[in-house]
Amino acid sequence: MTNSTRAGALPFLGGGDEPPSKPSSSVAKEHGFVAIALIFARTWTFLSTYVLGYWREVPIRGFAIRDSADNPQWQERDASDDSGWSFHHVPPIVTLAALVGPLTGVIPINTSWLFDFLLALSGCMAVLSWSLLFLRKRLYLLASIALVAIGAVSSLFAVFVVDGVVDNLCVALVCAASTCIWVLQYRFKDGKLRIRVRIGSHLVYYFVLLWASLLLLILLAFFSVDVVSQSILQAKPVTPFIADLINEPELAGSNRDGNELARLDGEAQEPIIETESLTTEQRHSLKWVYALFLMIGWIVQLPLSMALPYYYIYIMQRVNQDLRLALHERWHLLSLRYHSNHRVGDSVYRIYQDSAQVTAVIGEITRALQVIITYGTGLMFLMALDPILSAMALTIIVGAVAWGYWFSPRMRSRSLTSRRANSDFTSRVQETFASTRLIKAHGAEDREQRRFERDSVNAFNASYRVRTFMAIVAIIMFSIAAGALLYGQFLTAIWTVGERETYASVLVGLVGLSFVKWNLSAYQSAQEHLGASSVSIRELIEHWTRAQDMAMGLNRVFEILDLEPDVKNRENAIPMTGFQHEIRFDNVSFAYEPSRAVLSNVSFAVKPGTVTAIVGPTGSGKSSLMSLLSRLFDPDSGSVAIDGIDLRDFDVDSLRENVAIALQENVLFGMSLRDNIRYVVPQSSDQQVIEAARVACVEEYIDGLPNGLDTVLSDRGGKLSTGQRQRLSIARAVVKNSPILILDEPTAALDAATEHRVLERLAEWGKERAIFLITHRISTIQKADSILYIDHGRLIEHGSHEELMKIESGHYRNYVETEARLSKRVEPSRPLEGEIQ
Amino acid sequence: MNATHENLRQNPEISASQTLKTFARLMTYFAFFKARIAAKLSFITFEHTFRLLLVPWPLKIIVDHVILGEPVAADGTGFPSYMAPIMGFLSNKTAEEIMFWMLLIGVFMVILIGMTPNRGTGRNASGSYTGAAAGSLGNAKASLAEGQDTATQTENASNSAGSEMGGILGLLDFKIHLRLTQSLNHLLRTELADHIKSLPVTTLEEQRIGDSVYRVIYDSTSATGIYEALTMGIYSGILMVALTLYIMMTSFGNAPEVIIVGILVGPMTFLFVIPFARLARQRSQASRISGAQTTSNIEEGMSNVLAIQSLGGNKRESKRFADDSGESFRRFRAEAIVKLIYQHVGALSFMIGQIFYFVLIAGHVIEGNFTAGDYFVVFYYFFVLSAVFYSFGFLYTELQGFIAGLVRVFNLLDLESEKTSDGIELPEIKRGVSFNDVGLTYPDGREALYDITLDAHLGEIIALVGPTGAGKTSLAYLVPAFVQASTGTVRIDDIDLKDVSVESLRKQVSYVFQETQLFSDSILDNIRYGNRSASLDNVHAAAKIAGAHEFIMELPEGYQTNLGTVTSKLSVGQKQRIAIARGLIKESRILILDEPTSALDPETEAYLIDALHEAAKEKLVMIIAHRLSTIAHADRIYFLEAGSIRESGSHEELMSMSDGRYREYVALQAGDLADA
Repeated sequence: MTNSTRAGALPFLGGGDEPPSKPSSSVAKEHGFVAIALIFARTWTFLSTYVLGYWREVPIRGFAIRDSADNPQWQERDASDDSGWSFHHVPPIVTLAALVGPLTGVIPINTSWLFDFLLALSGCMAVLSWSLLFLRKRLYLLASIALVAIGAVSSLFAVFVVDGVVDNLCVALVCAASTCIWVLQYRFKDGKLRIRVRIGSHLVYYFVLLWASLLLLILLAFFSVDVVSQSILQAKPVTPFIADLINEPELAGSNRDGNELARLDGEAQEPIIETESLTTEQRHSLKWVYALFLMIGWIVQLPLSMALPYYYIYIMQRVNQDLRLALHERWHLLSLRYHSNHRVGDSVYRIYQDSAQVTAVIGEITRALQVIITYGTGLMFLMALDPILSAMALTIIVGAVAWGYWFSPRMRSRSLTSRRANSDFTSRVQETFASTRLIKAHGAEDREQRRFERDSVNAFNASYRVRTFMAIVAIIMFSIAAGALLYGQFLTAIWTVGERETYASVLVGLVGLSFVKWNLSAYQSAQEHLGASSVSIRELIEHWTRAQDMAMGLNRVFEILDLEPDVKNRENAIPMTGFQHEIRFDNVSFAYEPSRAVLSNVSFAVKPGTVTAIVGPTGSGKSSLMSLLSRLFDPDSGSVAIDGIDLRDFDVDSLRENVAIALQENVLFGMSLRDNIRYVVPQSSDQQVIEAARVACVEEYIDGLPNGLDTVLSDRGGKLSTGQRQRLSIARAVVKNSPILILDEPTAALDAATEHRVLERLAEWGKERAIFLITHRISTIQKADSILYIDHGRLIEHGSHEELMKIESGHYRNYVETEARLSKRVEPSRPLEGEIQ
Repeated sequence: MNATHENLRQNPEISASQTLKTFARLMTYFAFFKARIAAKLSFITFEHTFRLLLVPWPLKIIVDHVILGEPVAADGTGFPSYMAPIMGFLSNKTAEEIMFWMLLIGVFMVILIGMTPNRGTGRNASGSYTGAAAGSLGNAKASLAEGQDTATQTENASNSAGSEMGGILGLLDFKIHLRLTQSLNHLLRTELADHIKSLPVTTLEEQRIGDSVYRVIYDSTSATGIYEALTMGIYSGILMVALTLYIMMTSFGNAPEVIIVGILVGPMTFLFVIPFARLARQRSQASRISGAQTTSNIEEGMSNVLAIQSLGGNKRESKRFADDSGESFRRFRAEAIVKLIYQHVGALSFMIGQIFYFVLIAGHVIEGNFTAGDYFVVFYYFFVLSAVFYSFGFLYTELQGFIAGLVRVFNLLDLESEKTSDGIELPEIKRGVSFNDVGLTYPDGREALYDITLDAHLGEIIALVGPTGAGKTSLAYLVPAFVQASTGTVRIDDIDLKDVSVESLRKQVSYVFQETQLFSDSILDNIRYGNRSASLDNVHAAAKIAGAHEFIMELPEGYQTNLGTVTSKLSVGQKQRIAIARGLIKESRILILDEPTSALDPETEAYLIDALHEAAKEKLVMIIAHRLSTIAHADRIYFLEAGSIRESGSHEELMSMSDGRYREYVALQAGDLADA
């Protein structure tokens, strides 16, 4: 396969072959709007931490901080601790703040409707803050939302509609006081005043800062336009406010006698400014002032514009991290029944790619809200000009809904196909690299490469379908909107030519509109707002399209989170403390699938200080039997009990702490030898690690390495020989220092001498412990205190080597004799072995 | 340490010259996509020309000649010369008629290029179009939601596409662009995967699987950003400048300040931003290395879920993942903050240019050289020009993040691969293998074998015996050339293996590994892996010899059972038997079994050994084993210790050496077996 054929593997244009398996479209179809909303709602668990934040107590005058804060996010955000905390201090403060304006005369009563409106809003906030003390549940929620909404409206109103700075401060004071309900509470406990504050509501902070910086930008732009186009270019005086700001009062023209209020009182007095022009020198100096202003403006917004994107990444990464961890943890809790049915690559894709969708949820929702608000205001404006225009803006919605109804299920099905294809590709990559050695041994590189390229092409074809579909959705949507735009342009132009009356006359004076008849500026405003509303709808559709894909990704995430681990703690699970008397298997049966019994009715008991060998043909159920002991599975019937307590009553983690297993498949991790040995007990001292290595007879090997215990292994123990890896995994089990040790054929690859040494040391180490040994090697089996012979999942014989050998034509005896016959094919060697004995 | 391995592991400093070489190397890939790139560039040309030369005029026509009702001059006065025919056509039309034609043109434009003619100029503070201007553009684009680290952003990167147009042409443009990006990514990732598979085993052992996965899936997408900037970015920028200059010259006369200051923004930005290039590269590299570490560990943990659950390592594994993932997020943020800093520093140059320009033009206006209206027009052109040069100034630094990814791809591509098809075709093996004074030193300096001399012929069973770590597997690896002898020669039928093509050699050697690796295919396909043409009877026969037939038939789906879904339900012994069956069925002259019997029960073993004797009549069988029952049957035993052959001969011969190492070994092994 050459690069040029690869370069042409994907068609120049067009979708390529259909993906091999299309997802049942029912899956995609059954998710309507509500289902998508539900999937999004489920992400709330992961977002709420960053919206609600958590409470932390503030020390007052030398009191110690009652700070249980190893992991504050989770521990201190508890509702249970809500008792006693209250915000009774807030309503009086809000009321006072609301009174400050009229009392100081900053916001006088009954001079202008603007001020009255502002006062009414502040009053409402004060009333609402009192009402919150008494309302409960739903009403409480409604009142809070109303409070937030009124707060937002009054601040915007104060900033944009009412001139002057001082009124802004008054409103800000009221808003800040109201905010205390949410962020600052107190309680009396043990006669002491305690105060708690809510912190960590990162998403709230972020959006507040974001909108604040947007406001700042808009204000800067206002001033710039004013100064540049009016004063510098056309020699008109600057407004008094700016003149004040730059400390050049003479630039403001001659109407400086009027007080602030006079100017504020809008329409009537507006055009009083005298038409005296600025001199050339003044304009030149203003030019430099403006340059300075630009520079300062840039520097002022610099911290926010740098910090905000970073802050956003930080929050979203944390949200994503929480979800990743939850997924990863749940994945590892699932029993092997699940894992045996899934490809690793698929899980990696879900944890990595699919979970990342959570970061976009909140952004998409807030942006959709913004868009809706823009659309609403645009619509109102158009309504004021002419109802026909607003009707046209509304028809875009009808088209959008109809179109959305058609494309949504199709988008979901394409998205799901694409996510599956990409997940398959990830699995293929991972599997290919995990088995490279085998591929080489069979000279199958070309074949594997073809499979790899096929999967890669499939993944790209699926992505191509999703993305082309998205593009088509947007193009059709644009065409629908453009229809309205073009016709709107046609109509308004004709109206303007005909000097038709607008409907805005009623609104003149209220919003500052002055188009009684259609003229150029009415035409241009109409174009702007018609355009803006069409963009809003198109953006909404774009968000909706993306939401289809996100929902499919998140759905794959929740599929894993929804799986209940079948091995889990019972309520009131008790920790396992140790092991004194016996381990008892009582009539245990177990099957992976109902049709294929793995263990049937196995019963036996084991005491501490014994070595039990488990013997039997390959696939007879030996490893499964042992996995029941650490609850990798639970038996289907019968019970496994330690000291008379059923394992299912123990806490799983504490049980597994008490059982150490050295496995047949020796898994080493890509970390240092030391960390590999103390993998489960990272707090072990070097002393303990070395001792464990000694018991496992691997200490000489480690000593021989230039870096000793610090040697870092490559993937899965890469270049160690199997025997070395087996001994390391024994050391890993030993260092756990648990009362039960299971060795699942970990000595198979050891030579006899080493194995004997290992077993001797283990036996010495294992006094007082129960050791289980799965092995085929007769010389090892013989040394066990008792032997369990298992065949086809049944316990056939049970006893010591001597006892079992006495059974005529017994299974065990037959087993031993087969081995002996094989190795003693050469007759003369018999006496030799005898001699050595 | 070998230099190439150093490349892979560490965090080598990428020099500026290496960066340029990487650009150049990526350019060589463009040759494969000449037609696609040419198509994309012609779309850009069409769109730019159309948008800059034609789209501004309808608005002027409507405002001046419809709404304000000024008559249209038949000779096109007030419009560029190329508009003259159109103006001539409109000259005697009424307002309604003009609007009708505008509507018609609008419909045509929407369908064809996804724009409406009423293009406004409104922009918000962040520079994007607003209101009517935004409403008039319906360009084709498609991007999906993405996360906040390198890995989760690659899905968009590998499928990046867009068009400045919408409608039919825009869709076409979009599709061609998407296919172009995908093709480049497909080419890179498949070439890389192909190359990784061809690396020598010794190199592969150094390379973590997760790291390879990361490079193939995530790093390879870095190419997208670079090729887009180098082809479309530069082309479109230059075209934009040329067209803008043309319009300025023809419509508004010459304004050298605009051009000079606009162009100067480029070098200034470049100078401001260039000091960050190295930092950006390093942060990106660190972020990618950490990402690869995370994928490695998550993959490792998941592949070994059995071990982790039985060791009680869930919490440990979660913590490890949390740490890795947190670290990779942290490093991505470090990369992001560098980006934020240099972007703002770069913006400063734009700011300075803008202020300088403002002072200049405002001065002209105040002095009365320019009108207030000219100010806005000229400023608009300044913006267009300087924006292009501004982005050129960033080019080099912005590409650093991608360079770090691409260098990781090219570094891996540069590792020397096995020359699988070089050398002569190995004829069918007639006699056997001979080692002559062979020594083996691994690239990391481990000396694995010394002075190995042995002869093995077809029809023999050879056993390699010795303590763990003695070099048995290394010795066996020499036969299928997984490793090459450092000294001495390995010959098959008197042909030095160094002269033989690896491909033809491995066809005749069948190797069963100590650790079983199965594919997520059916059992049938797994067994037939090395011999696709094997009949079902052959498969059954091989499975019977390996002792696998019985339990396979017990599975509900028998040979069709997909191993991807049942692997952990099979015991290690069962998997081993499937692997042995796979080794047996391959039609090879040499069969190497690396500890095949360790997990087998005696009965299966007995059956297998007999079958091997049967097979050995026409094959050479090499077995590595500890179990006496397996090795005692061999025709010749080589006892290895510390990398060299201590003793060799038949079981009887070796046992008769009174203080032989083998005899001692056997004694320990047989142990108390005599009692049996």
